[in-house]
Amino acid sequence: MSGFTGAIQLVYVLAAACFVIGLHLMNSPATARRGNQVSMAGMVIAVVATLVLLIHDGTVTAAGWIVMISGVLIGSAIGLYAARTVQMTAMPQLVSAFNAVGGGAAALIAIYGYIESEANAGGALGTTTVFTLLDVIIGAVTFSGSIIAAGKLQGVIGGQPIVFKGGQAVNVALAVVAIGAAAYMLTTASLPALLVVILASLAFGVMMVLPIGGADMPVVISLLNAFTGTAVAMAGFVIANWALIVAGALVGASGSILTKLMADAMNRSLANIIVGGFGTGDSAIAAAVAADAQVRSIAADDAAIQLAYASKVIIVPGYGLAAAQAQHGVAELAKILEDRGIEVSYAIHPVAGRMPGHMNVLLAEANVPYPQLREMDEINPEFARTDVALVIGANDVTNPAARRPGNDISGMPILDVDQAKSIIVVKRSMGTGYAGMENELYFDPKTSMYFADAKKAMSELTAAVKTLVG
Amino acid sequence: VGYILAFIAAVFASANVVGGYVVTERMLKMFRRKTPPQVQAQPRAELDGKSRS
Repeated sequence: MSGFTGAIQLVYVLAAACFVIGLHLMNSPATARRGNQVSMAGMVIAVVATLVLLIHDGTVTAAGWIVMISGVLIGSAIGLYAARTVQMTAMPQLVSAFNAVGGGAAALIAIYGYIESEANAGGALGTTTVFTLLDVIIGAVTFSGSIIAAGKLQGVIGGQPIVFKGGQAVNVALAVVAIGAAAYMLTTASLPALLVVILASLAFGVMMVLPIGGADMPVVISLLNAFTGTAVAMAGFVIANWALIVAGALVGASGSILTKLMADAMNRSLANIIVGGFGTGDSAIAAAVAADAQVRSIAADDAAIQLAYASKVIIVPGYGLAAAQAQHGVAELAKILEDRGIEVSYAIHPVAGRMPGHMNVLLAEANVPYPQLREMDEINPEFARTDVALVIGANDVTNPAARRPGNDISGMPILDVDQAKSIIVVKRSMGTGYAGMENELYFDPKTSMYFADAKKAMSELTAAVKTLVG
Repeated sequence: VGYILAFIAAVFASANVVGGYVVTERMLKMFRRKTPPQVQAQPRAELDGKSRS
């Protein structure tokens, strides 16, 4: 190692340190912004170091520079535009789209490298091939899978699980073809085999995400993010770039941990989520709801009285809040209640919404101070001394049936909403949630149902509270 | 073919990196400990108008 490359490696270590410190600072909302900036600085350092290395080596042709610079400019412009203009409610789709291009870029690095060395005299055989193959497979699966996930979140593709007969068999066949062709490439350099690996992996990504339903999307996005990181780390091995390996490994590891946490928060194994949506198995729906059970509906005025004379209110937001874009409305209502001296907090279930942290981002957009957003384990003991629990567009995560064995959501950690002295549920209809089962909470004598779109409900409730307390 | 692949890879990678950092910054910028007085003017005013009418 010459002095120059040694210096570059040291700079890469510095960049890697920035990534690690940046991630660590992300642990708390108070320091997260600084964390992002530190990480960004690390990325700038790594990119500059790589450019210096390329210029020093002088291996990039003039045409190569033009291709690279124009690509980077166009890509940066697209990324910047998308990031600046996206609506907060469309964030899950954008995150998924970024996963797609990340995985795609990683796969292209390996594909490019393979084609290049294939053209050389020695051929494409060598120790890098395993990394090349893993990079192509994981990157391609991430690319097509993330595009399907983004399509589902955007509503271009139906959010319901798309399951068809023989789907599992097709998946297994695609995996066998991809891995088989990849194994063949280990012993024989072959461009057609590479093409087979790419196509089979792309098809596998599509088939993998199609059967997964909307409410499982936070887990899937997190999983695809872990895949992106892993593919990038493999790309780092392919081109022997340590900064890329470290960055990819960090994303892969943190994504995997998050995926595990979220799967645990639904008490489902990752395999179960990937295999398909709820109710596609043969488990009987065993909710203890009597056929003649009555629900009580409530009007804005009565709900407003309950809220205005409470001393402690917990708001439980769910996907319905995001779908109705009611985040500003709920923040407005909470503000009025707080001005009356009522203690208001928000209970955030780990898998509420459509991506990790979805509720936190939406409520932050509505200027809700983050100390009011409380995690499930932290806030659950507080429901017992809560006067009103206001559930807005959340369903399965509040169903007490989860505490009993023998149904689809058994064992899933839930928010203990039913412990509150009184419960108001804002919901458009009695329709079931993602798990497709009745929510026993709605039939609780303490529960009142407020049937309305979340946004409309919030403005009606706010108006009613204002009139009431004038 | 090589240049096309390299071009697409450069576009994808830079969109991911630049977009990722910018959008993270945008999200994190919204997290605050206390509600600031002026920044909320627009959405609040709109809602106030609706709910009072």
